[in-house]
This record gives sequence, structure tokens and C-alpha cells, in this order.
Amino acid sequence: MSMLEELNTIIESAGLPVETGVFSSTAPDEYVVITPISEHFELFSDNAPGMNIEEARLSLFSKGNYGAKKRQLVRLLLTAGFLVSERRYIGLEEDTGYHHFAIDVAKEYLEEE
Amino acid sequence: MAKVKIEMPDEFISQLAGMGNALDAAIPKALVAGGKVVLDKMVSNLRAVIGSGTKLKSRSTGKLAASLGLSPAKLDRDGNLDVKVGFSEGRGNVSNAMLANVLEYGKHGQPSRPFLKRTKSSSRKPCIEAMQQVLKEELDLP
Repeated sequence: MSMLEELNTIIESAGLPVETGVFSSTAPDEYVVITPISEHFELFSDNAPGMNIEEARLSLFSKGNYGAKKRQLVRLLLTAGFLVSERRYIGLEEDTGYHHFAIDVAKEYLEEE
Repeated sequence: MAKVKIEMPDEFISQLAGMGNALDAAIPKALVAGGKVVLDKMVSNLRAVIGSGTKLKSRSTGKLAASLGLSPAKLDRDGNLDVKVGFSEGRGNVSNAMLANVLEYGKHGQPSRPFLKRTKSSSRKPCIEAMQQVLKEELDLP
């Protein structure tokens, strides 16, 4: 399973609508956008990369109290073996009324031949 | 009670002292070399995201990318040397830091373009290598 598939499954299991890159349909009061950040090889053996580390950012937008969903998401991500490298409240967007919270995650995947 | 006293060889101590003086001069150079690697990567990543995927024609003025720079190596409040890669200000009503933040994290209806995070991930290794190279040259290490 790829990181994006895994993240989609986790976020949907938390009851949140999710899309990758940009939320193209009409946005509900609470949703998540996944932005892939980078992929890099860290571990090598026999001059070949053995492990691929993928990073992504989850942007949680909520018009209400985002605290419970944020905690639930982080708990699910940690349980699934993700490294949560940053959690940051970006702010309240006064023009749209959305609270914006960013969660950066990373996970190692075995490089497939 | 038995007592052991170990004394360092004088030659070794003088070598360490000499290296200490050389280190004081080498560390700022190494930090600047590492900072330049990060700066180049950040400029490249920032230019790649500015104006990309906009619904309307981009009105970018180039001021944000032009304001990126590297500070000289200075002592911080804890007494450690560091360099900073960041934006100079003086843009007017809107700060460069705020614009960079909107690009980095996005908004409702505006996708995130994480150029800072990508810079951090991709420049870590080359930055360390550049600093190691400068230290080896400055300290005459193999």
C-alpha cells in the first residue's frame, strides 16, 4: 500500500472527507487536504536503495472545534506507524471562517524492485 | 587508597590548543558554506512554486524570491554560532514572512506549496557535506 492510499484510509476512518493536492468539490465544514512533500532514499545496501522515506502534509480545515479530530488523526497516524514531524496551528482564516491545522508526517517504505 | 594520575602528552595538548584556534576561524566559514547550500535550494524551490497552478495569471513581482538571503555567522543568545536563511523585510503593507507562510501552508481554496519543508528535507545531506568539506580544508584533515 502506498503512503497516499494509507493516509486516505486513515483520514476517512476518522470520518473526514479528504482529497490530495486541492479539495476540488464543494468544501464541507470540516475536511483534510493531503500534500505530498518529498520522497528520498536513506538506507542503502549493495549500492542500491533499500528504503524510501515519504513525507506529506495533512491540512485540517474546520469551521468548528478542531481539537477532537486533530487528536484522533494524530492517534491513528501514530498507531499506523507514521512519524509525526510537526503539528502546527496555522490560524483562523477570517475571510472563510476555517481554522487551519497542519500535521506533517513521514513513513519508511521498503523499496520495491 | 590507590590513586592514578594520567597526564596528557605536551605535544598532543599543544596540537589540541592549536586546533582550537583554527576551529574558531573555521566554524563560521563552514556555517556559511552550509547556509549557501540551503539558500540555493530554497531559492530554487521558491521559484518553482511561485505562480504555479494559479487560477488567474500570476501577478508575481519577484520581490519575495529577491528578498531571500543568508546572514553572516553570529553568536546567538546561548553563545552558539549560527547563520540564518530567510527573508529581508521592508516590503510595505504585507510582510514577506506572511506571504511565505501562505505559500508554505496554503489556505482554504489555495493549495499548500511546501517549499520550506522540501528545502529542509533535500538540503540536509548536501549542507552537512559542504560544512564537513570546509572544516577538512581549514583544519588540514584527511
